[in-house]
Amino acid sequence: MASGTLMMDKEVSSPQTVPEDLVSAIGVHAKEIFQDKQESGALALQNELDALTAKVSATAFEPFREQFDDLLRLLRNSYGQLARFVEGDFREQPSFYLGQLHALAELAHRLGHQHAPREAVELVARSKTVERILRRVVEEKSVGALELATKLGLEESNLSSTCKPLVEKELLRRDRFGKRVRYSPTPLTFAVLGQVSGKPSGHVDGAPDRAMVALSADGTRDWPRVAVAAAANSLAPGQNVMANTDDFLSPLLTLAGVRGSDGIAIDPSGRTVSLEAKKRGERTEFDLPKSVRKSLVEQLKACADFKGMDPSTVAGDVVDWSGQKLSFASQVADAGGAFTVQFLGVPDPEASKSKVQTAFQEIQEEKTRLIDFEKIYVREVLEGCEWKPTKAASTLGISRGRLDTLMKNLNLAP
Amino acid sequence: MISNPGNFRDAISRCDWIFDLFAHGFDFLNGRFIPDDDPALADLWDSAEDEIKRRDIAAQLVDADGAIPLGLRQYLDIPGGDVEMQSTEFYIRLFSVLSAIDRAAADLNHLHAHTRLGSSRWSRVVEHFERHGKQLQREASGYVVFRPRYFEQGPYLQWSNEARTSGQWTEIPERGEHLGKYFENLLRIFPLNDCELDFRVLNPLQDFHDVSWTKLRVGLVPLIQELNVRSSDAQLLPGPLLMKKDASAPSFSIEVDGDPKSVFRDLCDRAEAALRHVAEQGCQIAMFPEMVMPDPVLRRLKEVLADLAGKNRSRPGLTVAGTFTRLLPHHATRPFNVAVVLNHRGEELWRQQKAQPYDMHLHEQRRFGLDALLQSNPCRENIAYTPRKLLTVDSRTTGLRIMILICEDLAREPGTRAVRDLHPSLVLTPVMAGPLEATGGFAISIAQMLQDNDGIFLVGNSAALAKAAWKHDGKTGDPPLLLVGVPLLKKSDHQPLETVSKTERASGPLGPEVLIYQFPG
Repeated sequence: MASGTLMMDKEVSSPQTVPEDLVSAIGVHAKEIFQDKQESGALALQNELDALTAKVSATAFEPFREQFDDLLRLLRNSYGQLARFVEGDFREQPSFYLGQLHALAELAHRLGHQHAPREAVELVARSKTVERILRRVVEEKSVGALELATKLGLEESNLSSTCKPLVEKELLRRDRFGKRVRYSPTPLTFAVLGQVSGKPSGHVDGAPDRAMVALSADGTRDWPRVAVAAAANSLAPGQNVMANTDDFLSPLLTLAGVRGSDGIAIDPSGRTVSLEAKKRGERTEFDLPKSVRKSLVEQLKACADFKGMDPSTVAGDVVDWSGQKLSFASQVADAGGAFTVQFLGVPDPEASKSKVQTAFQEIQEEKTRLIDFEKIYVREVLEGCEWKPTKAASTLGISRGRLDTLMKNLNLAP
Repeated sequence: MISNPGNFRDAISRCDWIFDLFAHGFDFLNGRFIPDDDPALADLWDSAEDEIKRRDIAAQLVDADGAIPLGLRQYLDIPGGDVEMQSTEFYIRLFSVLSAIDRAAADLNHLHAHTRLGSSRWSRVVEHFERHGKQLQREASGYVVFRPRYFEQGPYLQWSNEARTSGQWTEIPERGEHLGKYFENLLRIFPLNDCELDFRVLNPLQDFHDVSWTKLRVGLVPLIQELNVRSSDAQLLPGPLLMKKDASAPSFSIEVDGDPKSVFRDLCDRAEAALRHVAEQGCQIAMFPEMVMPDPVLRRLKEVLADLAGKNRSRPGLTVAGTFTRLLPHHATRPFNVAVVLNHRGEELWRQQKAQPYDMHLHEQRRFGLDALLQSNPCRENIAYTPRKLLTVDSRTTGLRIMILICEDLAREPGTRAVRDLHPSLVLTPVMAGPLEATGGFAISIAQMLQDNDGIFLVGNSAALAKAAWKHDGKTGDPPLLLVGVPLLKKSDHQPLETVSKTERASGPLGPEVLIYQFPG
């Protein structure tokens, strides 16, 4: 245990009796245990050593070597306080080695605890909306739900459902004062945004990334890897594919899987997709709609940056996509510059079918959701225009004819 | 504990530590003020939060590293008169300050998903926290400590969600209000007059190893199956343990019949077979009940766990190795009733002593068939129980705060108070008692505690007294020996409880009985 490892039934020394100086305190407690045989000092001594461990882990984030020199001096002095009670060669005692492992584990835990979990970073990487919410909350420091929704152009109810998993994962803090809900950032919010700030593409809302990075204790940023993993993980069984409506790469992979292709190739503009089955000599090509291309291209850029490839590189990096290994690569420029994703090994037919079903279900749900919302949205605009079609069409920025068709399709009437 | 305006004003003027200020502020607001949903106060709330933001109190708190920032004092602006101090305006101002401290302290909360300490952030506070028994307060009475994670977080998320989506469980509706629930990181604990609290944190080497938390799986080993009452004692069978009435006092003890060096072999073998079975079943937690675990049996459990670890076999992450009477250092005249907790390699993590002796009343003695033997009302368990000390142990791997409360401690102070104040997420209770029915004392106590605590409660019993009482009551089948409390309501009976009666036998010639519980089912 951090306190009281391998020790039982020790008294806790009260806070008032602990000497102020850490090194002296170690000496006092060591004397209690090893000379006066008072077992009460054991837990207190462990507490002092935990404080030293905390100092070591904090110093790991210091920019200059001088702080390490100070720390080593402190450790040497502390060592001296304990070494005087040693009889014989302590290197022959298992406890000497156990103690070292104990300290290393504690140190590793403390350092690890200051880095963002992959799952949390991926949760943000999967959705621009989530990233926008977090950035806005960090900017505001603390913000009411209604105000946040207004600033982000979201319905408060939609904001609430989006924020729920973020609160569960400690990416947001939610406080309720009476009927009012307020959101504020958590330490994890800063850490994750610090990671995401390293992404190569532009930032939503132009949030002050420098401040984010400065506030984050995390030094490592591997955005492309996270982006690829996030895209892959979005198809994990039971998860919501279209939770990230910008992830079109994953559904395309499901098509390739179910059609027995070796992989897919996408041109750099995101316009054309090829499903290739080289052994059968088959190649199916189709165009993607314009509305999809922009998101797909952004996703591909992230994947390309993933391996920091130069144009001549053919071999890509390997990603585990829900149990299926994938190889990402950018083909050489004279071959058309396509981006390819190859299956490593033959995809399991059942798994491919299941992935298609998941993806299709999510596409359907997304479509239904948007149609439902579109109906309410158009109706409310019409209501605001007192059901005058010309005025409503102008407000919506569409033609009168298109509005008429829309009203018919959506079954809207005054 | 409510402090009056004068005391609060004095305390704040002397106070120079932010977590002492939190304690004094909490004590002052407690019982006086709850953030309610009065629409008339909405603007006051908004302006208080806006002011905290405008003054950047959060950044000031971090920079001050435990000291009280001047900007915070200026914003708090303690009124000179008692009337103003008891105005809603001041309450909201003070609450907003406490909330800001609570939010800033998230940087330090070792039980949360992430800490944000870096190089010099909070260095003074961290040193104080580590050196002073994982406590944050300095001069204030009682304790300010960190709150464990929510029930929905950490390992529980998956199976608690699964339980709810199964349609068989639902959330416990909130009842009542208490100030503490508005603080996510800090717990204010008032001093317990007659019990010391000890806060510990598991080292990563001894914390739960790589246990799957897809389901919660618990294995209970009753170990003792029958009570054989004789004229001068009662045998706890199988094995050499005897319940005896003490000659000089209306009390009873559990003793060993025969030479301790040789009489435990059978009990050790049974315990080993049962533990191996529980390990094979993939239980994260193994429980042995109260007063069944003399040292030879305990040693065997340690050996079994070490053996399983050496072979990298499936094994529990935590084993409550029951209890037995044990002498404590510096209290060598009379034994305590002490539970031992082992990790996945069989190393001792901590020991917990019982804080309340069991007073077995006449009606209970009759149910157990012990009235002729004990002949006193009540007959008290002959153990030492003072000085009282309750341990709370935090697992950073899982976010769990664990407490062991032995038998009576789950139903009486200081145990009940400690659960209420400390919000443990896992409470393990070895008992030697009658059947653990959903209408019994332990069940009622757990149901009450789950109104305010998002924890899991596991109560594990031996079979001797339970079977005797079951038979006395004319009931057939097996009595419930395992009682589980979860922070969800079962839709069928609107109780947060499940009882387990069904036993299974471990393989081997001894075939000891075990009970396995899984949640969600």
